Amino acid sequence: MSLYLHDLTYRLKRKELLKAVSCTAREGEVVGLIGPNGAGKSTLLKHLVGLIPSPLGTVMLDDVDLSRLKAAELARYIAYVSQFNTPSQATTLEVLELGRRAHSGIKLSRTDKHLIAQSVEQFDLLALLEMSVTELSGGERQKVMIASALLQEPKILLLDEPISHLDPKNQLEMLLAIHRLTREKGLITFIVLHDIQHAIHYTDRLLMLKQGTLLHDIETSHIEASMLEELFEVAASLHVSEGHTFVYYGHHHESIAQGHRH
Amino acid sequence: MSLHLLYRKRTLKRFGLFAFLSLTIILLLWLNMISGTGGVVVRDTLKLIGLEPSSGSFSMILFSIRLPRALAGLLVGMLLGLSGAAMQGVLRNPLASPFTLGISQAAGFGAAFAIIALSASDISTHPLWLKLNIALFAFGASIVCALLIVWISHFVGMIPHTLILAGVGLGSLFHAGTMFLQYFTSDINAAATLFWTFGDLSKANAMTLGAMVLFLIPSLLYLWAAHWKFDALAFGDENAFNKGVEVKRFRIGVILFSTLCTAIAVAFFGIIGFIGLIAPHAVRLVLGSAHGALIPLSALCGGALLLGADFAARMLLHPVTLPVGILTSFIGAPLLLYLLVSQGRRR
Repeated sequence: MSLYLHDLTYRLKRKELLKAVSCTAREGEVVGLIGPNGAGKSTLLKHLVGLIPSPLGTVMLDDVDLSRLKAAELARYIAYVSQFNTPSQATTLEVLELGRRAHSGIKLSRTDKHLIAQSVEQFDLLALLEMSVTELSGGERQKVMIASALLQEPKILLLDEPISHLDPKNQLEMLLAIHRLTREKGLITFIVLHDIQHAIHYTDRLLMLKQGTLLHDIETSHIEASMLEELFEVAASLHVSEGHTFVYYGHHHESIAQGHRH
Repeated sequence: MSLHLLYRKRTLKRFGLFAFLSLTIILLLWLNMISGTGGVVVRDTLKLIGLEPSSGSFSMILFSIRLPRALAGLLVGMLLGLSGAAMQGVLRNPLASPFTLGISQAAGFGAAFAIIALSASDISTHPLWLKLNIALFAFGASIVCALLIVWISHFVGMIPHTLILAGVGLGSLFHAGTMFLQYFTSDINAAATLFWTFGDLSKANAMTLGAMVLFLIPSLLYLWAAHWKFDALAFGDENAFNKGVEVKRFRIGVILFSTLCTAIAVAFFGIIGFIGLIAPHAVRLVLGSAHGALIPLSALCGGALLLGADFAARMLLHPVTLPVGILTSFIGAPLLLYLLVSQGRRR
């Protein structure tokens, strides 16, 4: 199973937010979207999820044209966890149930309840079920939103900065879980990340977006410091330690030395 | 607590409130049957269930006055409660009510137009014909108002706050139209338009009851079947879309159905405030925000509230009967404040 994006272009008033972006992603892959603010990362996800029409481009999952599907059909292919959540008084259980509605509608079946029970166990949500999601901590809420998204049994999972509000431990756990689930369930996962360190460690492929243009589309292991410098317009260097690649940003030492002299 | 127990607890809670509201409604129906100009006559219960022979005048009063009025209270309350729950859900605003989109002002304008312009033009002077015209024009104006909002939203987007602003704008436009008509007409007609706006259930008859049932049942089914879409919408339009809701189409559907519910009630009985605002809040306080229970139980709660209010309106200043619309506003405002405060304390 492969996802083909071809020629995605989006213009809002005079501004081009996406310029002919094309790429391919395969089953079991975590694809990281990185780039500066306003580069079009969220816009790209919104295209995929069908929130923004793409009159010129096409989004194909094997031979299914996703841009022609209705909301309920699309929700069975793609699950989306947005960057911002409108607060709702709904309880955790109700949020999980929402994940099954695209399949079952008005009344949940026995299968639905079984899947919900599985998800509760998998994400350890039992203690939270009766609580309103507004009462949960940031990490717990994010977990619930992702669990609900996975209950849609999607082929494609879209995550817009899913870990921004989490502490380091929760960040790592969440990223590990996303990576593992993508393998196990054969998903195609797109994830917007601001932390390049995380992007390097937990993705298989990287899409680098800048001003609506896809600068680089690489396997994560092929990342080079020059790409990051071009992308973010800051000096960057890569260091390898115990098989892991680390990024170091910022000034070259000469410029500091010069700065001191002035 | 296991998931299984949780489902059972939720079902029990919902059924509990359903049973409570149903019993309250039965109790209030009974009270309304045995009360009239003579106050509450408990002994009439015997006549009611046929244990004591009843005179012809008792059954005449029962079937042509008390029963239609009580059923009208129940139905109007249900329509307003249902419409309020739907409006609050679809506009994502706890202050929304059946009248948020300017429906009541539009209905008032329609009625004023019928009373003032039509009676002046001598099309017909028969009072029954005039009554029907008032209802038709009030209903028509409400529908026009809703259609205008849907049409406006075509340009500015189907977003809750623009819809509410459009409703406020149209509401004051219709209100201005009413005042314009009132300014140029006779004192008697001006007074008639004013009296029409006081919600009053005494106008009930078989035709009005039948019409309300015809509107209530399909609306209840449509809105109840869509309960999960309301829940999804609470997370914002984008998230709702990704859970399988065609947001724009759904919003138009809900606006039209809940306008129909409100318009039919207002066209026959005038403006009865606060029921549509309070009923969903009361249910939400007990059961939380899931619309699977909120939609049907808000209707029941609205029915119970209005039945109770009408009973109070008839008995409070006995033998004077207040229009129930005045009473609901009197009780409704402090009740709303109480709900707000108690909700605030919970948090």
